[in-house]
Amino acid sequence: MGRYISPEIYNKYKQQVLDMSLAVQNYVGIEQQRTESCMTDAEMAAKLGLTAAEVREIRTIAFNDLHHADMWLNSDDEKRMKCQSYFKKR
Amino acid sequence: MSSSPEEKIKKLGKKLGANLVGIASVEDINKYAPEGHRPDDVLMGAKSAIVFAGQLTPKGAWHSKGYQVHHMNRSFGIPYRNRIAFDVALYIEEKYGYYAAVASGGNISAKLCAEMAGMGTRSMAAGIVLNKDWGLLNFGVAMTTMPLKPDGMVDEQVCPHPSCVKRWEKEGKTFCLDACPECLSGELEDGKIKWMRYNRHVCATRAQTRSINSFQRTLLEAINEPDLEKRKSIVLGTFFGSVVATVSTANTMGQCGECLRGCPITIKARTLKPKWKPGDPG
Ligand code: SF4
Ligand code: SF4
Repeated sequence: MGRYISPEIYNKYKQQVLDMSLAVQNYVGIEQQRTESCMTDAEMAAKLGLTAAEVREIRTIAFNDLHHADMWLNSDDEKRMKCQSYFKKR
Repeated sequence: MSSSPEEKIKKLGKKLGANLVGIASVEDINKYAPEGHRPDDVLMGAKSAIVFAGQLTPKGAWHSKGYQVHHMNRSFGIPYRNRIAFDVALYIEEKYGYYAAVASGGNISAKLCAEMAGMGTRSMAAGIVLNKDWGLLNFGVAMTTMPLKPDGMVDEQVCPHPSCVKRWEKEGKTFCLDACPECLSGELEDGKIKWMRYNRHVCATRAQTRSINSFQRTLLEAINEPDLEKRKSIVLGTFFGSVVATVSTANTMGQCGECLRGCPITIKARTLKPKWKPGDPG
């Protein structure tokens, strides 16, 4: 891998890497399931035929790329609404 | 009678500001931690992990209608808990002659270490570790090659609280699931968690609204904005300004806890009874 990940590799693998990463976490009982998701970069790399460094790069970019910037901007309103709804119900 | 090294280490951790100190054996942690994320991957020959837990905020922060007060009051932040872990690591090296180091973010799972040190169990709320007396805690971890007597896991699951089981049976909801359906889903069965799912990618935009991630994402938005006036409004506006302020003060974690606002365990942990009334001596 060069210093930056190529757009071709990134676009090809970003969804798979996200699906296999900690982005979505499944538990049976209280035990985290690590066969489909919650894998380490090295584990994902072995499955995808990439290096762990490539996976780390794809994962890091994809995690920030997944949602539009407005998600962060609007999240204050989400939190405000949740908090107000709690005090209203009491 | 002189106290054991475990007692001395715990006493020091508490003196330095931790509410709880627990010890986990690396052998126990390694039964669950994946390769590359084990304490002995970070510190060769590590035998024990010492976990320092602190309550999130003064209890009053939960009693504010301003959701952001909770974040402003986060009192056991990363620099603070790491400072405790550093000081204890140095104490172990000096007093006992064993190597010690602080586990920094991403290397090992502090949650797993906390579970193994008997500080609580995973909950329906994002799989976070809930303690029966303290509710949600923040954790710092120091590892050492010193073989210390571990505390072991707690026997009983802290979550779900009996009132959540009752609500589940009546309405098919718990307080946390009801508060944040965007991030949390799951089911209870026979009074226990049957399964749960946590959408961390959504939670991250709320629990870290002002963070390195939102800094990068908003910056990209600004760079890609062809309209110069709009670009100016993004970069010079209040949101990006507050992101820069938060990142520059490293106060980036824990900006949401709404799923726990109605959690009975958290409510119990944050409830105070006055120990003094007007007229009493000070
Ligand atoms: S911390 Fe906030 S966004 Fe995350 S699960 Fe809880 S309520 Fe939802
Ligand atoms: S509200 Fe608290 S005790 Fe109840 S299920 Fe959620 S995390 Fe567990």
